[in-house]
Amino acid sequence: MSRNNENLDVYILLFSGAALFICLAGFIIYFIFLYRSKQLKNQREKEAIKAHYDKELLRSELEIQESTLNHVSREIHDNIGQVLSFVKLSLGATKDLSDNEKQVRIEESRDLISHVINDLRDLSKSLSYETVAAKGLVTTLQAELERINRSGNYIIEFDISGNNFPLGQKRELVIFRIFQESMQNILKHSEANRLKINLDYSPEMFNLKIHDDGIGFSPGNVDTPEGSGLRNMKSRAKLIGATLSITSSPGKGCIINVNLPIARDLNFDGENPSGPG
Amino acid sequence: MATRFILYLSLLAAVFLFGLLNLRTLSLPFKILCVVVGITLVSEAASGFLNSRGYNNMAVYHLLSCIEYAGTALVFHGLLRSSRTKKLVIYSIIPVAVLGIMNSVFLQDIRTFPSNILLLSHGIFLILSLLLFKQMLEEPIARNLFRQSEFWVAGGYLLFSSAVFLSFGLQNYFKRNQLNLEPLNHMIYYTNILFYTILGIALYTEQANIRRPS
Repeated sequence: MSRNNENLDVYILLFSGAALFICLAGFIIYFIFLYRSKQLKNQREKEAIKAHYDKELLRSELEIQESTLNHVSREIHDNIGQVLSFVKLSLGATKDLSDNEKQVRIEESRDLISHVINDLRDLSKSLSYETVAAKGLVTTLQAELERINRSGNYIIEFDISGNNFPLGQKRELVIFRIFQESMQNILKHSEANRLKINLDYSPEMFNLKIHDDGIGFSPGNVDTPEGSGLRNMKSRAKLIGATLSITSSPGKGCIINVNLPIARDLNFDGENPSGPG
Repeated sequence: MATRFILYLSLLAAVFLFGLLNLRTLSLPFKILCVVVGITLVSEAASGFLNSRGYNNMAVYHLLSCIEYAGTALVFHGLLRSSRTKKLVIYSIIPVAVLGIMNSVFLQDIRTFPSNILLLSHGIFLILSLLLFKQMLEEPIARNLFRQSEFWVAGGYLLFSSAVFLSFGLQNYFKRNQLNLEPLNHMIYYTNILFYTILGIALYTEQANIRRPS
């Protein structure tokens, strides 16, 4: 009887042991399935982020193109077209002039046409997505600032600190688009006279600072429908892992600060940041 | 010496040798894991030698239990990312070592198997392995689970520590009732063999991941 009881105890213990191992095996199997489903969920989220990123990138490219086309169309309408019309009228009115006067008119027209040719040459170099990709951020920013400077309405300071390095073509494109949008806002609304643009390349961080001495605005207005451009800039900055801050108050100008941490292994471009900088 | 003991020692030697040959490519927690396996190999060999000569070999296990705890705690310290848990793991080494010494002096002298301290340390390993599983679930990566060394470490310790609890429980019962311990010894050996095989797989996947990152 006693022996039977002992056997029963051993069986109970062995059964408990087997149950424990079955539970552990069950736990491991459950973990494997749970992990797999988390992996799939993560993958789907990453794909969605990637799709959103690609969409935003494409939008940036289109906006840069649109901005370029606007600039080209404005130049043709306001400058080249006007000058050529003037030359046409000027040459058309030479019938009753003396030979000397005709010669002076022709010389004037030739100068104007030379000027138009130069303007056309500049237009052919107008900025596009390819320009950012081929020449890099610094050169493209310089070209854009030179273009604004030619208007003669602004005193522009452009500084680069640190040794500039490529940030990756797509990141540079997004940063350039943020810059372009900031400049458009400044030109349209700020009534500024002085612009200060600073690029800071440090090993851990890239920083773009755009400072104007215009009329400024209340940063609370960023959340209004009129502030959609600024919100757009913020969301784009976030897209490439950067942060964008706006410091402004009425009458005190505006500072736009873009900070991009440099993590060379974390690259949205799916490539090394090898584009020209 | 029994064939199963030679098989067990050969496995330990193979895992240790593999780790040693790939030591440069392993990350720090796996380097420590390799050292822990090496220490286990030496102590098991010494224990087997003493046993075969008719000496009491329990002193080896008293020493091994403290060193094994410190080594394994360092492995988990390297694998876990929560700074709070890391601190707790590091700070636990000294009290466990002190308890180990007190256990050897006052409770289970060096001629007795140090089951108290082993139960304590394996209880902690059990919790740490569950925390490692939790961490993996919270931060899943794209790599196949079976190619993740952390999964093998967590799984190995979960199985082995649970088995330690079970075997100690059974062992006490078997001894008290003067039952044949041979089936239980078999079970303990094969659990050890399974555990060190899993650690071997962990070392292999770790060096493969470092050589061919996904």
